[in-house]
Amino acid sequence: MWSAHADAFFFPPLSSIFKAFNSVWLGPGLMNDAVPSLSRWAIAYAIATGLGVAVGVPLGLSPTARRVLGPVMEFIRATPPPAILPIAVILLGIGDTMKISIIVLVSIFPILISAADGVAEVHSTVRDVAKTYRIPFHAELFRILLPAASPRIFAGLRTSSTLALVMIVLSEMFGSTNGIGYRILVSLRSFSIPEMWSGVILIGLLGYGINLFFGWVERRSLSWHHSVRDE
Amino acid sequence: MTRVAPVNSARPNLRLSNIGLNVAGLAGAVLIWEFASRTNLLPSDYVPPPSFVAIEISHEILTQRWWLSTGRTLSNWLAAIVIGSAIAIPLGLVLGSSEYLYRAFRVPLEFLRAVPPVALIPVVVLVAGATPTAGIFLAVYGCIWPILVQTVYGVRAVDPMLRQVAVAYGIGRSGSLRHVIIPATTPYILTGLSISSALSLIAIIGSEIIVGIAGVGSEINVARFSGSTVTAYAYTIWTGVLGLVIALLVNSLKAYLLRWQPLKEAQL
Repeated sequence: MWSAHADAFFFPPLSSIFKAFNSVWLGPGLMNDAVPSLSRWAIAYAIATGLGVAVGVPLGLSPTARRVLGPVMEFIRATPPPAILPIAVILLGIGDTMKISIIVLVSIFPILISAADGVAEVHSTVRDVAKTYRIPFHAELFRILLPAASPRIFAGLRTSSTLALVMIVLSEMFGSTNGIGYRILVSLRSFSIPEMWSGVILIGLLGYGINLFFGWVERRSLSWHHSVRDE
Repeated sequence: MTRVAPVNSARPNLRLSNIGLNVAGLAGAVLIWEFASRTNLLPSDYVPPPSFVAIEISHEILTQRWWLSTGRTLSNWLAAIVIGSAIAIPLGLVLGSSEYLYRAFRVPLEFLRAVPPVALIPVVVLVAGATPTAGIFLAVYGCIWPILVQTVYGVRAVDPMLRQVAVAYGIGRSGSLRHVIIPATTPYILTGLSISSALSLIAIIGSEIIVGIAGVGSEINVARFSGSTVTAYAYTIWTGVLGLVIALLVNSLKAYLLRWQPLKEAQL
């Protein structure tokens, strides 16, 4: 199907895209664009995970806190993330800080909410038993609450990983001096169509790879959980 | 956010205090923002106090530009959702009913699904330019997958007993599709639809901001470039309102279509 378009300018044959992929992404593009993108992604994602769980667990434990913060979080979450980009640039410029903060802001919510829901759903009997046995809070947290919430947290982590990838690309297209999104846009503007396509394919591969990776981690670390065992 | 309902939420005074806490949270957030901005704790050139933004919204909301851009964004969004559902639901019904097709198409579909629509922005711009078509195409691409995946799950999760009953009564393929499969799959399709409605708003506004397709997103950019930060904030907050309204609409559609269902699933 692809080669039917082979002579169209906008849809170059796959072979020349692969050639471009080789020369760009396995050449200078790797260090100049791919590595900065991925390291921003990793830093932001790590912060979002840490903060998300750290805020989500207390929220899950306190219904009052959920009710106070709920509407504000709902509103931020309902705002389409790309709409926040212009304001983020006004505030923070186009550096790494802007990109990392906006990715954290966007990808924290699925993690935070799933952690809160997961903790809130722990059966009250289980918590009462923990209290009866006078299990200290840190043990309750690490042995009872977090494991019980982990299937949900993993689902949130998975949603966030894709969101974070989307936001990395968007923020680099919006304002940047390097990165995969930036490279794609520059290739487009200089009409280097095979190079542009090679970037699109790279992002596809990253998205697919991230998905596979999370599926694998989830199956490994949740192997005790019935939803995984049943498969 | 799926809230866990308190056990005795039926008691009216408890409900009232819930709303009170909700309002207190919102008011608190606005007040903190106002305070931080007025005292220059946050640089007020970049973060105007919410009262300024509110005044700006009350001016702008009377202008034609405000509603024209809102109309453009929403009509593109609606077009994308309609086209996306029209492709994804029938395709999902077919793929879900045939084990052979499901296995054959699973891997390529998984790959396509993993490509975020934003990656296709340049490609679409090349072919269609900065037109509404380009935005709609991206949004359709983004919103097909959740609906498709949910529909396939839904069809595959239909109770085999129901199918056998349909066969036993000899109501035929179209009859069983209409009276058994589609009703049983509707909750799944609607779950997909609510994910997709958010995703396609993201894609529409994203393409407006990156490419400059006319709509609320491009107005944010116009305001930013002309240096009127307050207007940029006004439009940004407006996108949040649009997001909320869309989520509410989809939820009430869901509640309406699933009113025959036992409460648990309808509440999703």
